[in-house]
Amino acid sequence: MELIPILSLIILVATISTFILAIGAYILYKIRERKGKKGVAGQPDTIEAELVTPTKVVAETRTTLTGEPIYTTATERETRLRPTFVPPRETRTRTTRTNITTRYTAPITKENIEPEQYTSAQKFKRYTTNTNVGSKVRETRNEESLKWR
Amino acid sequence: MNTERNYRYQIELDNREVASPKRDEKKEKLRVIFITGLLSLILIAIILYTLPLTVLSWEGVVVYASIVSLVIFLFILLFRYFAILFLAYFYITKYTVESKSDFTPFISIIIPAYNEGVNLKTSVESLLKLNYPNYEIIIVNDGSTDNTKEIGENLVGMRTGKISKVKVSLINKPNGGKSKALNAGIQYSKADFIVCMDGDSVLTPDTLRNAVVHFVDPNVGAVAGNVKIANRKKWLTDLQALEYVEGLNLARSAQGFIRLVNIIPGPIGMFRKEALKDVGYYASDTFAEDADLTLKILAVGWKVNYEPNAQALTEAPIKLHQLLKQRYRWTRGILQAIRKHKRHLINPTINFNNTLVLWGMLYEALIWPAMNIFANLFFISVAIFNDMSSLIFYWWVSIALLDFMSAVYCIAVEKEEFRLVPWALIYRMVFVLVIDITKAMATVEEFLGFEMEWGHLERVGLGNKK
Repeated sequence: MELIPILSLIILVATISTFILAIGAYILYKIRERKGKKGVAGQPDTIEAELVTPTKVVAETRTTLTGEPIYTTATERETRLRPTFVPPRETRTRTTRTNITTRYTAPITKENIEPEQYTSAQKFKRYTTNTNVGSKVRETRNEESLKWR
Repeated sequence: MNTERNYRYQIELDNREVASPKRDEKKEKLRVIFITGLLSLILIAIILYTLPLTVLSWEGVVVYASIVSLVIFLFILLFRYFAILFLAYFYITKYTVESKSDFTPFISIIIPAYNEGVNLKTSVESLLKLNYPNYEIIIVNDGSTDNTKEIGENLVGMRTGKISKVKVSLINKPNGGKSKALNAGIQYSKADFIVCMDGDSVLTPDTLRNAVVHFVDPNVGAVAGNVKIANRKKWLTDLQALEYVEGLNLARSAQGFIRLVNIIPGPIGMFRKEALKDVGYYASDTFAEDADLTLKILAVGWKVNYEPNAQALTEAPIKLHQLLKQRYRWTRGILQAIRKHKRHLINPTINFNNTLVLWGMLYEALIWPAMNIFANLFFISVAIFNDMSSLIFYWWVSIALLDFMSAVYCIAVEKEEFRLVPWALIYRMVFVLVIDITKAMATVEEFLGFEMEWGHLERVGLGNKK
């Protein structure tokens, strides 16, 4: 028997087998995929996330090479995709997701602009209890729940 | 284990995307059925009218049509092959003689990770070996259900890189898909240049240095990298390694010559942030967010280059059903992306380059697989019913020879393993045929509007060789 008919037969069988294999594999894939299908939930406008970083986050004033601020304020949300930093859940008041103006806006980490004002009782406590400490110390303690807009 | 003190902050991320074009799916389906039906009727009418005027019988028409189709197929096959080979050759020649600059801007590398606990550490460690002085790493844990979060937290810190200290940050967010994870990283990034990669990919040391050079040209909006398969030495992954070298990267080199790369691969793509901003960042309304983003970038006039020496090693599917799942998603995703940009497809006056790219993509996704399947079916039927089995032999020999030569060329150019060359003998007749059948099915299902979901490929881990 000649070589070419034998090789042709081998290739013919291989090609038909490949076709059957491909269609079979596809059907099996579809059967596998059909199991455990889930519905698609709607996506909210904003999502809460957690940032873990080795450097302290301070109020952002840097700009990009193009001259735009890197982080926009909460009220400029229509124009840019930028993260908004929020306080921990337990310290937040109930706000609606869509009402941007009611969202927590933490103070920028600059030196306190307004002088601290105390009632007489507070003044007394301020200097007699350990829980009331100076504004500098308080600021250091609160660094981690900072403070971005 | 990272012993440094890290800081945790609650953040709120913008989860919105640029709205996709409005669609009336019912109307679209009706239109497809109407147009294909009408075209078929016209074709049948032409055959019925012209057949008595010729010397052909009914059986003759089938043979004649088959032979004509095959000749067209062969012509396109050869044209496609040589066009890609020549363009790639020109690009690589041009590329190798161009000098490099010392442009080293700050770069953010974003790693979206969904259940990538097996690979994440290897991936980040590869990034710390990058030969580049000015970059940071942002891991975005997209609501993983495995140990990705713990592994990510251990990686956070000011890590020692090859040249400088590298800041590694982690964002833990609820699951929302790859696009949203990448957008979260881009929101947090402070750099003007962004590298987007996969959680299962590893970058080679000179990737950033080689890719960033392209951005010296202010018209370049993005640079596509070169993806290679990391987990080899299995028949299926070896065939994929050959496919990436011969099928994908060669085509990308050709597109690089005209600076119109049509898909920036997920495992390695570098972007100018301005270009990302121009197009509204990633969108999750298609299953090929990388193709969609690239088309959007091209549509607004940015150039997209290819950098063969910006290499990412990625983990390929090791089982056939996983491979089919991946290709099914790619095909439907690309068709969805093309559909989103159909305005450019039918109107070349908006942006001719984009129209050219879209027709190329449509051809590769839609017409080429159908033609390959048809050619094989033709030879099978001729061999069985017309007793001309030697035809299928000569067909295989010519295709295998073409693929063999192409494989030798590509592997030599990319300095790849010559061990992969023999796989070229069964590459088109077995591997591509299997893939093409899935592509054809995916195309039909996409046009019929079948539902689909992302799914997740099983990972063995780049560091764990089974």
